[in-house]
Amino acid sequence: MGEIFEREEAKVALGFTGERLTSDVRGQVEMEHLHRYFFARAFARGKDVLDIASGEGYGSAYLAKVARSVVGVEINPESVAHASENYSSSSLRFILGDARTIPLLDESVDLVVSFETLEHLYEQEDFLSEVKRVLRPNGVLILSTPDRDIYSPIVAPVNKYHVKELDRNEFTSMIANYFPYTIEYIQRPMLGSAMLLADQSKAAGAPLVFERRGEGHFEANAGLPRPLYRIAYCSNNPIKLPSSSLYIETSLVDLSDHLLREARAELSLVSAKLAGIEKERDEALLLQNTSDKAPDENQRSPANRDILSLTEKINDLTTSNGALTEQRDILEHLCQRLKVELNEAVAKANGFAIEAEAARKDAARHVELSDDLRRELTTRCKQTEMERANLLHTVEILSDAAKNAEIRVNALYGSTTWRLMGPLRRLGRRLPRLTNIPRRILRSFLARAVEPVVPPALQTAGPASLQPIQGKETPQLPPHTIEQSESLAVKRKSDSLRKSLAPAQARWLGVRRRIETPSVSVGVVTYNTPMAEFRRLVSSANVGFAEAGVRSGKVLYIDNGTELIYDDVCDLGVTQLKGIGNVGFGAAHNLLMREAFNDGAAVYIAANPDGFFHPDAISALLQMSSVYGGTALIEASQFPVEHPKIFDEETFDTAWASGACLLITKEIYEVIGGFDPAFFMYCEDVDYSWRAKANDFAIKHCARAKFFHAVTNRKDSMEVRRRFIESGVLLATKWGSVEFETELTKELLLMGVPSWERHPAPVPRSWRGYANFQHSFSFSETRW
Amino acid sequence: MFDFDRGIDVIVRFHDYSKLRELEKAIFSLIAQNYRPLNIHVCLQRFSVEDIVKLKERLAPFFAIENSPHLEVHNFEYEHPLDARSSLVNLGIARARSRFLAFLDYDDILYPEAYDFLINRLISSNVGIAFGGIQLAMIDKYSEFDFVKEKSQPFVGLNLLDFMAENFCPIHSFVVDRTKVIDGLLFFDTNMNRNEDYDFLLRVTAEVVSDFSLVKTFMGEYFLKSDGSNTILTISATSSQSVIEWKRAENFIEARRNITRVSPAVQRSLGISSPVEGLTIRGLLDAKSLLLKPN
Repeated sequence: MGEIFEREEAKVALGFTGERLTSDVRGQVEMEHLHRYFFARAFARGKDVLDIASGEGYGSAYLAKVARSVVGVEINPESVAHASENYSSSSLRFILGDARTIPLLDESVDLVVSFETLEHLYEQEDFLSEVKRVLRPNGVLILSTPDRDIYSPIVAPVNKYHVKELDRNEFTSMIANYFPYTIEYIQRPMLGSAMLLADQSKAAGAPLVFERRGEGHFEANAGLPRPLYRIAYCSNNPIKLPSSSLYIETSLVDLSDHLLREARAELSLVSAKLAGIEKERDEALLLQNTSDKAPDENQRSPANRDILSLTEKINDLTTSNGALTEQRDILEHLCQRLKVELNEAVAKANGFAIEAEAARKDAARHVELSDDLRRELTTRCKQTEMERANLLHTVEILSDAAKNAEIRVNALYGSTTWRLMGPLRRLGRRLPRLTNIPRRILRSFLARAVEPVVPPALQTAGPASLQPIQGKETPQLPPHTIEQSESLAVKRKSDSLRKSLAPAQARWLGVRRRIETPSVSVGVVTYNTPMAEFRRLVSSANVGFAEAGVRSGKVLYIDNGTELIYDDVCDLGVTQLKGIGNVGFGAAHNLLMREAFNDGAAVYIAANPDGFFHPDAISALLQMSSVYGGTALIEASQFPVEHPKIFDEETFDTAWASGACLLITKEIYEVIGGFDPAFFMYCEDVDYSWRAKANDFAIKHCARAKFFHAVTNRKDSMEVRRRFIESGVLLATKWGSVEFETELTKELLLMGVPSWERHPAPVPRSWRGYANFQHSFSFSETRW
Repeated sequence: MFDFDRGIDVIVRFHDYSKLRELEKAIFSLIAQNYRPLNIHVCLQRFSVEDIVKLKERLAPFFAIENSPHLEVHNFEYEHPLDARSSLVNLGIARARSRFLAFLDYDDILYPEAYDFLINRLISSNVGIAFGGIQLAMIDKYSEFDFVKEKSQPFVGLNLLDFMAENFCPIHSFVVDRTKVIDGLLFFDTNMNRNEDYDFLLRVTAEVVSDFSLVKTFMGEYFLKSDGSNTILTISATSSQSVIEWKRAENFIEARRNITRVSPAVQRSLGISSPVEGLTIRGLLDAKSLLLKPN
């Protein structure tokens, strides 16, 4: 006797849809699947096995009884859920996954079992590649698929779940691309008789196969005719396998045959008996008629005796007939029950047909829906196209106007009037009230030059999109202009409006500007800065110079502390200025700026030591600076967390520029000098920005220039807080905000900081309008 | 570049060359990470040879900065699935060789201390996965820059049970310790193009003990774009196809909750002193009022 093993069956079987076998299905389909899994089971002992497309899970469960481990991978979540619930074993697990990207590691299994999966995939090559990937070098694949020529002949209905069936040649050649050694079996379910060689070693030639072909004929073949399936055993190594495999469904076949034979025998017996009875009854009736016609006494007595005898016989036969009729009724009842089952099956089939029809209608509805969407999108496309045409027209007009303005500005700069007004401008910087004179002249000049024609469509689109450019470029933007910009930002939501800003943004950012390779110095003030941080900053500046095409870029530094040793950084090409103690952030930058500009730098970029440049940051800053001819103080955009103060999305005007990464041109330095050294640290950049504004310089935020600045999750120390507030007090005192000064002084007292002597040089009263103390230390409206 | 004891692999998936500016931003945030050794795996979705060359050229200057991480670029070349977002992650995982594993989408960023904090947490609390907080930044996308309009904190969960009930952890909010998570769990389901990261996390957090103590400390930002190009469910995502896909993903996640068993270790970490065999995530959520100790 061979090995006996238990049947694996779900507590509650999944419904059979035709896509995957469930343990509730019987008959031919069940026999085919069980046979394949039992075959694989013979090769799974002690192995790590992957059952790909494990379906309801019963097959994996058979394998898990002998394997070291089995993973059933299945694409359908309901099937995975069902399998996990019904087939539990420490060596078995089911996971969701796709045969085309198997969720297992490289070389992690010894045996891959894949039955009736290949034909469900378009990407069969991907699948086989994945199988190769997860198989260990000596691993084996057992793979089955229907033979298209036999399973799906042209006249037969197709299996709707099969997307790509293969014929035998296609199957064989595909596998050969992945496995050097393959043995293929063919399979076909049947009722019949097996005749195998008692001694397999004496096998020669294909098996002789006989098949009944209708009532009157048989067919003889060498080998199995019309096999529906092909099963390949694939390996990287030479293979030796059993010559054949049989699955014997004794229980049903034998039982049905036995029952049939019994029923037939019974039926023929009953029929024979019935025929005999009918014959005897006919004879008796005939005899009775004859005796009625000849009432001879002599004859009557024997006749009566015969009649009596016959009547008894008839009664006996009638009784016997009743028993037989009863047996016949039982058989008819059996037939009736079979008919009911048949009708139920037909009803189920009809149910499937109705569901299929409903699904078809549903699909049709989706098609209609997508048609509606397509129509809607087409309409929107047309509208967008019209908007685009309008905008292109506007862009053309603006470009012409801009060119015109540039010509006029160049003409202005080259004009005798401009040169003659030079002393007046310089005087104006010293006497701010007078600055209105040249500014008015310049503004009226520019207004003539660049006033754009706004198409009616855009005029009605809202005020945000296009304002006369000179309004944005005018350097004298009081702080409240920024607040107006914020409201514009909120309104700018539509795609078309956002896109309409692109040309202006590109222009004010100088996106297409060629960098004139000015001499650029990056200045860094260090204070106990970790060496790695400083080296990162310097190397990022060097990368930035290279990306910008700046050949004369330099990095200068001064150490306000005592930690940084020049020998550790000189390989980066930095220039060190001798420190004079901890003089504060602004004062140290002033020393660096003086050195840089005396050395011929056109641009100075102050950079915090705990940050570093995005490779494109320096070029973006220089491009933007060139748009303004050196008259704009430009901050980089801090990363990963921007300062929340607002800036104009079109012109990039902002209330003040942060000193974390700040571009200062020689033009600005010559007019307003460096930072106010009264500020030890913090707020010196706010003060510097307001002074620049008061001197007609623009304050810009370069949204393209990213400078990493480590400000996230910083621990706030009391020392930092005190210095911050002290600088705020200085700023308030200098710019005449009594309210802010009082508020902060109170806070300092609460912190236990005694009042201290401070005498910052106050700015002229006329400049106070440039300051903004309405938003605490943000000094500006903020975005969040 | 391989350091299984201390290193971290970060997988960045990228599918469209025209969005290179956003990828550069994500990479810049990784260059700025304090933690080393760090390997960046940029996984591309079917890029042409020319685009791969261009992309490498564009990224090269970032890696010329001193002490930059190591970069590897991998290209997913199969035709299917069309939307290969999960396959890209799986490709990256297959190439990752370090002890710690993290993910970042090309259009999001991390703060410089993110991996420092999370890995310290993993080691000190001896767990398999640690989560941090993420801020949401609403942005208008322009061709040259992103305009951050506002920031908020919509990701409001606090602990494992909150997470199993609803996802509040974006793909860049966590780090996995591979010494504590079996490799068989480390994959994204390729059938999913919505909620695939949540599906991954449900499987992992049901199996290994997790740490949520840093969810109130922000480690990075998730950018919600006003042009609707995020793949999350937004008001704008109302096309019938999108709704169907989201519904399908929701069903999938619920199926995941129904079939995924919560390991005894995780149950114990939640205060269940006698773990229940076969307890699923759904079962745990349904019984959570009975739990003694929230994680």
